[in-house]
Amino acid sequence: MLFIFPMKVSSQENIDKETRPYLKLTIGLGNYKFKDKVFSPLRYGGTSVPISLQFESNRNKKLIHNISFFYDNFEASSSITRKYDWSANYVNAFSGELNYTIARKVKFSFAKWFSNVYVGLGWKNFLSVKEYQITQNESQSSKDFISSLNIYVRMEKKLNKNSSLIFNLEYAFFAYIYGRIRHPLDTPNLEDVNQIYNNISDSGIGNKLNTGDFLTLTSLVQLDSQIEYRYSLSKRIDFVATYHFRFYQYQKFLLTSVGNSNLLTGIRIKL
Amino acid sequence: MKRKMSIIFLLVICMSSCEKLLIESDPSNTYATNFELFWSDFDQNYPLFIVKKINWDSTYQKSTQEIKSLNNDEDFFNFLSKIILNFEDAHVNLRTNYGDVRFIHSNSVTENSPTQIQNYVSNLKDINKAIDYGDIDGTELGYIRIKTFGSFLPISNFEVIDEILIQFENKKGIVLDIRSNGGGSSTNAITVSSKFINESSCFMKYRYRNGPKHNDLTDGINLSIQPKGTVFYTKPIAILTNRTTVSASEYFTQSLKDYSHVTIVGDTTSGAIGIPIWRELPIGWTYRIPINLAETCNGISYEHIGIPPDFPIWISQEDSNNGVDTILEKAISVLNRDINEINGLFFNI
Repeated sequence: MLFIFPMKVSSQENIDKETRPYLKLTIGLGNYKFKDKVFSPLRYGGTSVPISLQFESNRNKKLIHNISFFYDNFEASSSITRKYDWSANYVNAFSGELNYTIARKVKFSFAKWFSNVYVGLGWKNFLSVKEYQITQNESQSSKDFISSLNIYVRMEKKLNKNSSLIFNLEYAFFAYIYGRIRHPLDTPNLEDVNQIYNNISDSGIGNKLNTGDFLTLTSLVQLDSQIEYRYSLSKRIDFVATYHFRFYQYQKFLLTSVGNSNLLTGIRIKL
Repeated sequence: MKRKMSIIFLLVICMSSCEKLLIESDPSNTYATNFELFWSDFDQNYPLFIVKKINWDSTYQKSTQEIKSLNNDEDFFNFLSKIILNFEDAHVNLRTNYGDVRFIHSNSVTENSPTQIQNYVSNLKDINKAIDYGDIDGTELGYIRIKTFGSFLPISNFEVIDEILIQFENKKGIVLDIRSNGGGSSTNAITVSSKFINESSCFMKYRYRNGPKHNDLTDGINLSIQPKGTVFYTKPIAILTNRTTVSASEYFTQSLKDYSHVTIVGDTTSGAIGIPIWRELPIGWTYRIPINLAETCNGISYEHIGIPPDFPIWISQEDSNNGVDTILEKAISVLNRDINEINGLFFNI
């Protein structure tokens, strides 16, 4: 897979100087803003308490494998939420993400400021379910499921003996998306498009996955970036503080845009 | 070190508002903006203009003048209500603090609703919020009334049909009464109808808007029905319908209509068959818009006009007052004819 990156492997040491795998657990606060024009022209926002678990292996110092899981849920409101006694107009939502990245250490002439630079690919599976609470106990669900192949870049900067900074950037170039309502000419010959707005339990997951389609760079924006500060507390434990930003946008019948910032702290344990 | 940390801190603060910058802000909440969003949504996405007699451009021209004279929210509510009702579509609704607006087709002479069923049905059991069943007196026929396919009900409310069909194993025919069934989930509807067939079949096509012109529609996407589970009933069936048989109950009717053992008796259905979704306006009101046009697999659309019965019959006001259900009586005689034909007997109805 990484043969597409014919860059010269750097001779610099990995900043961790360790080849044992790590487990990282972080928790924090998240902020969402989104606009799903299928439901509303209004921007909704809410606060979440995200949790993230990550396993990282860099056994040979040149190739990093990373598996991470991210989960949060939140209630979002708009400028008119509960403006009237008779109305609700808020959203209950949760999202989960399972991500795998593989990256190889490379040397770029413009990247001398960094101790290490890695370039690779990622495979991200993302699910978001939003339940729009409308008037008089009426609700309507909206789902986004994106399975994407991403370009992945990681840059590490050692600040001093105990601390370092890590920048991660992922951008989707090809994705399979379930949950679109085919408005334009791409309506496929599939049977259960009508299930999209029914409850998630209404039809089997197999049927649901069959109703997806493929998007590329021209029709999907999906960005994931992280800045992580790492401070070594002991030989086996690091303190980590991360700013994590996620954004995706695509045409789901009408335009759907979701942005999410998270501030996470936790520990990283050498296994 | 301090300088570096300050830079990181500033960077995080700046980036924490990224999502706000990337997602456009709310449109203004004026009557003109609300109407513009509403009008554009229908103009670009409503798939039923081809079966309605609505001049949407003319509506826009008239409305942009009228909207300038609106003084308050109640005026705007009355203004939008007129437009909503003009669609004559049970799937085009408005929900506001001034009330709900929904067009319901009606028979101006008689409602044809199921009244005083107990005059015809004994052992009537009300097993859940969706289904009643019993035995039709003096016959070997079963009676099942499905009051709703509501998506608020769990699917188990509809899966009980298996237990009823086991009890009806020796019945020679069944009346399925979906008169005044206001619809709900198409999945609930199919859960029931899939028990009354023994072979799969295409029963409907959905077409979606795919361009700016009102007749820009995709080719039909076939919907099929398959027998599900282990219990099936394929002896003669009569489905009772009226003008308030709407939405998922029309979907149910359409899913069984073309099977040879199924007969539809009563009044024409409502004619709102496709899938609607809710939308919100900046003023906080919600409205519903259908996103597809339903057609038969032969390309005939019963949207707006309703599904016609095989045996059209109404209950006169006098009969209704006297507890006489002429639609049910007709269904009983149709089923008896079918049963006798199966048995090789001639039976004239």
